[in-house]
Amino acid sequence: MKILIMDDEPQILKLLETYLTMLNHQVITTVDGQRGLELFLQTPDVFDLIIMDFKMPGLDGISVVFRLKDEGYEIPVVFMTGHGMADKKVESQNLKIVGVLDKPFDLKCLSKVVSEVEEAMSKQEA
Amino acid sequence: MSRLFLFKEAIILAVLGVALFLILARIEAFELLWKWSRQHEHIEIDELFILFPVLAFFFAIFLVLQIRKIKSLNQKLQTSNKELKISQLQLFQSSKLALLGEMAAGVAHEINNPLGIINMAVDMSLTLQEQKKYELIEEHLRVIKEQTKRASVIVSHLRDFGRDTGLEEQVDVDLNKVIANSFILFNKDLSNRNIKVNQKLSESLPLVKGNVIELEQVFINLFTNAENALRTSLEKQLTVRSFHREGFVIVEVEDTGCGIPFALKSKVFDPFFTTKKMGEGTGLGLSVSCKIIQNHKGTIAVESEEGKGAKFIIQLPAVKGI
Repeated sequence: MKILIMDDEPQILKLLETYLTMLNHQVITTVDGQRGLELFLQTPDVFDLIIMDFKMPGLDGISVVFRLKDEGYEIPVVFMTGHGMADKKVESQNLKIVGVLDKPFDLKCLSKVVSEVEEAMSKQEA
Repeated sequence: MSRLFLFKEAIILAVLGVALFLILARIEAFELLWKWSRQHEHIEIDELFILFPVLAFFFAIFLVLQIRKIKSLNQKLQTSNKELKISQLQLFQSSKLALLGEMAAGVAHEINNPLGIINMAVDMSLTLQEQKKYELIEEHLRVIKEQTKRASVIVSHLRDFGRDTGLEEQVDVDLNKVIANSFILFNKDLSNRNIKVNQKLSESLPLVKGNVIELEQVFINLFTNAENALRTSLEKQLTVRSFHREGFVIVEVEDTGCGIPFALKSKVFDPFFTTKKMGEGTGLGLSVSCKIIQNHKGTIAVESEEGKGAKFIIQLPAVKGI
């Protein structure tokens, strides 16, 4: 899968990139929501999944999802959050988010969500 | 100790009183009294001389009693002052803890980020160990160490800020450092809210005499208020300037937020005055800040217009000789 990751913590990006690359995924990272959105819109068909921080300077996670929705894209999104409030906000917005990971989270939880997305995609393709 | 002191004082006063009256009697009053006694033949002059020391003695006693009364009142005043000081410190402490409560979410985020990185680095190390790629583990151990340090700086700062400073003596303080420390607890929160922080701090700032934690409380109060005022603004800038002028160190905290309406400007330093929503603020921040600055022999003032931001100006006396 090709995964786009957005988080303002470079260390988190580096770790996630290493881990997901180890799991044979292609990863592109950015520290900025706005830049992430631009990257996605340049080649929207390339990406299979977006993993992003809920709160980021510039454009935050939920704003990125709304912008994608406005542009007509419904890509699976996984939120990472250190605030523990993302669940309720996502529910109240009626968005299709495939996972919300509360920081600190185990990498196994992430790989589980990623595998589920992969599985759903293969089923769709079949 | 003080009783013995009073007794000595009483003796000295009595002796002085008697001596004074005897001198007066001999020098000036003597002639008058002598004339008067000549008109009243039945009073012997010797009797008058006996009367004077007696009067002097009673006057001295009266004086001693008055002094005792003044001393006791003075002691009561000192006790009341001490009690007032303790109440004031308790108010500072309560307001500081309330401020920490307001900042809790931001601080949790500040700590959660390094914790999240540590957790991921541990997971990565375990995975690499399973794959027997031992040479790659060291890098992740370094990340763990670095992030542990990052979290511990926040925790230790939180502990320092929350502790009761009590009646600690004032020391020489670099306000630039206090400003930098004040940002530690919610730097991330400000950047997540897209607030641009400009620090224009003088590199040759004289020191001031002060209590570091109390001064930090003042700046955090001002930054929290600025963050609140900037929530609805399109331009989100927080500027902190420090400089010195005519023996004073001046710090300005300016935001491009909603500003203060003219009618409310005179009330911002009043206790329990707040424009924040119920449960978001105690209304004590600025009044406590004002009291802290006054205790540091300084002043705090505000310049603001509704819709045009606000600028808080703190002025503290610089330590002499710098």
